[in-house]
Amino acid sequence: MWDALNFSQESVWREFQDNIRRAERWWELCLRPPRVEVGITPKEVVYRENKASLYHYRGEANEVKPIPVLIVYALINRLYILDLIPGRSFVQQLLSNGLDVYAVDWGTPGDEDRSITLDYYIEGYLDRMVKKVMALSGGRQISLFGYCMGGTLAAIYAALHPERVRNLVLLTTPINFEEAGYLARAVDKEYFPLDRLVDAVGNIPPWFMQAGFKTLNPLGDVAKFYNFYKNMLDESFLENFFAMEKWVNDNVPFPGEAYRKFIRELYQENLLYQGKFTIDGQRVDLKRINAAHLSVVAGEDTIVPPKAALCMKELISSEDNQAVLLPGGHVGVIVGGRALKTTWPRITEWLLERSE
Amino acid sequence: MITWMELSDQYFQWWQDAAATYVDLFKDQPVLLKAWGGFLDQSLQMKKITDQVLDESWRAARLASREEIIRLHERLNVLESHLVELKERDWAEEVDRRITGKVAAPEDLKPLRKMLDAMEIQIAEASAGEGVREGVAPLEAKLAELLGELEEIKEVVHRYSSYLDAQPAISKGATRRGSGRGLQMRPSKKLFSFRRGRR
Repeated sequence: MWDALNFSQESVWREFQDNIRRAERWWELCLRPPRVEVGITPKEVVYRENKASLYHYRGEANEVKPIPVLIVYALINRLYILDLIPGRSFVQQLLSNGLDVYAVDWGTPGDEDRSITLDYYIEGYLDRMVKKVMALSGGRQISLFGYCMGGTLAAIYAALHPERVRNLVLLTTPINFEEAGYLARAVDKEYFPLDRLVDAVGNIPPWFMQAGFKTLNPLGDVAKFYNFYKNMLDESFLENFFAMEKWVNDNVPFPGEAYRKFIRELYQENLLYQGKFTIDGQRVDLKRINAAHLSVVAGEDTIVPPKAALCMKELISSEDNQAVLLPGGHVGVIVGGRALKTTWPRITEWLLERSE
Repeated sequence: MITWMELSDQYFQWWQDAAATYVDLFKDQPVLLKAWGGFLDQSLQMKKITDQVLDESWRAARLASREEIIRLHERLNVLESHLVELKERDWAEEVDRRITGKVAAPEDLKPLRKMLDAMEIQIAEASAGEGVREGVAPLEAKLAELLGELEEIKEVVHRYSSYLDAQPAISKGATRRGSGRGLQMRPSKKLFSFRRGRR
């Protein structure tokens, strides 16, 4: 009884002292907010068109695999989530294992980009970037790595040009949009004034997109700040926390016409899954994909629920065809603490085996 | 024994799970989604009307409206994309291959010339058209830059034309096997869709 009382008293006293230190740290952070440097892996721009750039990352590995990896990111948020900070950089992981890494950065669309269609993003920008990577690497095939919506773009490209893609890695990529959960319901034809939105605002503003993601998990911010309060005295936690915060709040507008097609034909009509989706008048038949394929799906993903992504395996004709379900959420699966031990080695090993 | 923080964690987890159940129920309600859609629809209508009024005011003051400046930027984007396509395209390689080798066909240059002419017209329109009145100096600088690039490309085309003109034997007897890709530009491709009519 006395021991329990004593322990409890000590615990309260310790917590009281920690809270004083937290208050002090909070004050310091307010006065001198930390400067977070993200995306610092050395790279050069090897191609640029309008706002879109193609990066070639410079690694330090002595031997580089002949099949280059092209990372295709989504049209929302920023590419540097894959090259966040030292120790949390997936790009760095690929480079250090001897892979030749390129990445598509779509840039920040301005009002003048509102008329760029999804067709042009795939058959214009992406197509030229793929050719550029081939020209620079001297090969005839590449590995495509797509994350989230970037995976959808990569899958469409691989279906249109199967001869150019040796390996296709899709990370939390929506394919069956009927299973896309709350996001699909929120943009349902019945409620969502899609045409009026695009006609009135042109590009979809970042705050609008962010509000949509916040609605997915309205309590997420409470949990995030509770964790922040708990770990405020841990410097490595803070470094990661601020880098993530920077990324989460660093959004880009979604080009209007591309958004219209993406929402109408994919989310509302689910045409890609049904094999009726077209790009530049060509039907996108996922069955044409014969590249080695790996889909990595996050078990706790609310943005792209597992059911929306796992179906890819059934829709293509690749012989080397895998889909794996890993722990984590949509972002955590690639930058979370567990990702370093699960997702990263899995993808890297898979690519290394197929990049000779 | 459990510490104060562990107790707090347990309580927080319990609260979060309980609250999430209700929040999920609430946010999925069709009534709510419909109300939100209706509100968004009305707000967007208001925005459209406000934008139209603002545009009219700028026009009345003989200044370029936001819409006009955006249109001008859009045209510049299209031009820039065409230029990049010209620069990056394998046609340069194709030209070299033909010069050093076997197949040459001056008519291959026709689509390219046609496209360059169309671009010149677009540039002329952009610099003298509806959009440029005042305060668009940066756009003019961009135009000048694009025109510079266009001139460089024209110079290459001109040199190639001269070369072909001096080589009638090659062009006459040449078969054009596999030349479908070489110099054919793709101006008709639906790359950009302007929805002017909807406004």
